[in-house]
Amino acid sequence: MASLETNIGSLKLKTPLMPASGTFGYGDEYYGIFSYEVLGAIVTKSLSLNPKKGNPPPRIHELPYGILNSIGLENIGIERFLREKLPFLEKLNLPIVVSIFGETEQEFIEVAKRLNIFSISALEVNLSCPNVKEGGMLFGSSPERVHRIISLLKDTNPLPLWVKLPPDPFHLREIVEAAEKGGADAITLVNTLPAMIIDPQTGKPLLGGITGGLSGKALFPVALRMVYEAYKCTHLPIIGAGGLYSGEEAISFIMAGASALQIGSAIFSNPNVFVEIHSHLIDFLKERNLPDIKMLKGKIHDMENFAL
Amino acid sequence: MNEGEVISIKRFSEDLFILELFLKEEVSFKPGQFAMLETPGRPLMRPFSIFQLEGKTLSFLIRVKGPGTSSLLALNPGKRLKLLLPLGKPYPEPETEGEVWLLAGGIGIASLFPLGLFLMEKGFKVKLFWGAKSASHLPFPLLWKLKKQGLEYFLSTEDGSMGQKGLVEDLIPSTIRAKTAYICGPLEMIKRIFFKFFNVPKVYFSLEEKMACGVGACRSCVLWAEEIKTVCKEGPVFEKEDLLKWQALKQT
Repeated sequence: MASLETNIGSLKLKTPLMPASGTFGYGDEYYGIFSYEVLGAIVTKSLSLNPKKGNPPPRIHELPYGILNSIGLENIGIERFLREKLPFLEKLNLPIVVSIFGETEQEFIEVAKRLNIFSISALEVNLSCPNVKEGGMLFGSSPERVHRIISLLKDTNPLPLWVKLPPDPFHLREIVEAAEKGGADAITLVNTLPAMIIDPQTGKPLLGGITGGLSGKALFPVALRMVYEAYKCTHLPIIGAGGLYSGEEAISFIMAGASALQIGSAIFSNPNVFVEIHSHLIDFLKERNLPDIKMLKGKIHDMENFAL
Repeated sequence: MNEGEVISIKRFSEDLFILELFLKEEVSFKPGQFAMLETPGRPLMRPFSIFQLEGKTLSFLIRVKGPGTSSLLALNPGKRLKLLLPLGKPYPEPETEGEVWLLAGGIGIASLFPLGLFLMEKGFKVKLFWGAKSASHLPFPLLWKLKKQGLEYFLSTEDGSMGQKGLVEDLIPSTIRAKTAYICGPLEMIKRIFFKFFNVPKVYFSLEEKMACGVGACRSCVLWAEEIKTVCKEGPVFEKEDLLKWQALKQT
């Protein structure tokens, strides 16, 4: 069988597929609904030092081309995670990636320190949540702050750091370079796009958090272009995320330069999406007699000019 | 994950229908539980109460409310839909003997209908109070199975096109003799009757909320109170005590 194995730094993943943080809870919720065999890693919901209540409802709004959410990083906090959720994840025999969040640099550092545990493979640093007043995108939209926070984390904890960035189309290069200089081990592109929706009948926003994050189909070409641009300015492995629904889109992300992929909103319309994309990748390689998915990585950059 | 093939769509009125599916894998359910059903072309699956399940034949009672439910009404037999079921906590069984009252607002009958059947088979004395906007939202022929078992029922419509003219609470006698009550309907109805039923020893409410995952992963469908609960996982059935601090109940 063709190999789907991929590497994020020194971490080996048996497939490039993993859930996008926030859509997959703490990993136990979907267990039994589809086979976790097709996953390369588990990525948890973002955890903060103390439990967070998140935003008032409504927290979700569906559009024809995507989903708006304003969950606001509701989470059980790091201590309950370690006590109640980690033991289950440890039994899965999959790399565990914990997404971390802090309102301050100090909180990020504290959370990371608590996660210095043998069974955890990497930390995904959420510098791009559009749904919180403190921290969140404030960090991810400034190259100086990205550099500072990643270097601080690098100095205080030994785990690989994946930096999850917002879909800021204009400052991509500076921010990716700042993360790399700070010592990041990988870049996750992209988080949701800040957005809002108003009910013209009532004149009220349709999300309890007033503004939210756009995910789903509309985000895919934006995310793809960001992975494509990032690949040109960094040597770090890139984890592609944003509006990934199909095997074709997964291949496109890899050709644009992604080493691994995160699937988020797609699971809300198709709980079998991981299994379907996994078998599409296998078939795609088989049909072309390719032994290894890595051969597709960054393929689009090999061409000097695009003969269309 | 399960899959269901559309057997038929039985339409009662312009915007009310029963969707019948043949399941790939047999499952069992308890009244009050729900399913997440794929809605073709839409980014989110939709939660529906399990209305009936016999062998592998599953049905949902659905009211068209938006693009998701419209897309289901337009389906043809043979179409396969993904679904997750059974989900959520069911209605608990009555803890004591004595009258059981069911209060349904419109489509709220979808979860109370299987509960009524279950309770009557167990020998409970069940009364149903069912109100809707108009006769077109009150497909009372559905009740035949319950009637056969001797169900006592009372109907109301806001426009008077069937049953008593008025709201469902207008059907309620001034002395509530129920020992257990089960309530399923829109938020507005729950707000109106919450305190009327407060002295009934056990009252259970089934709530509706916008959902994305249905399994507790996305945290979209929260009951906003001091302590947050998800409607999909910790509900959709809640006891009256759970709702006391619910913010939505206080807002007018």
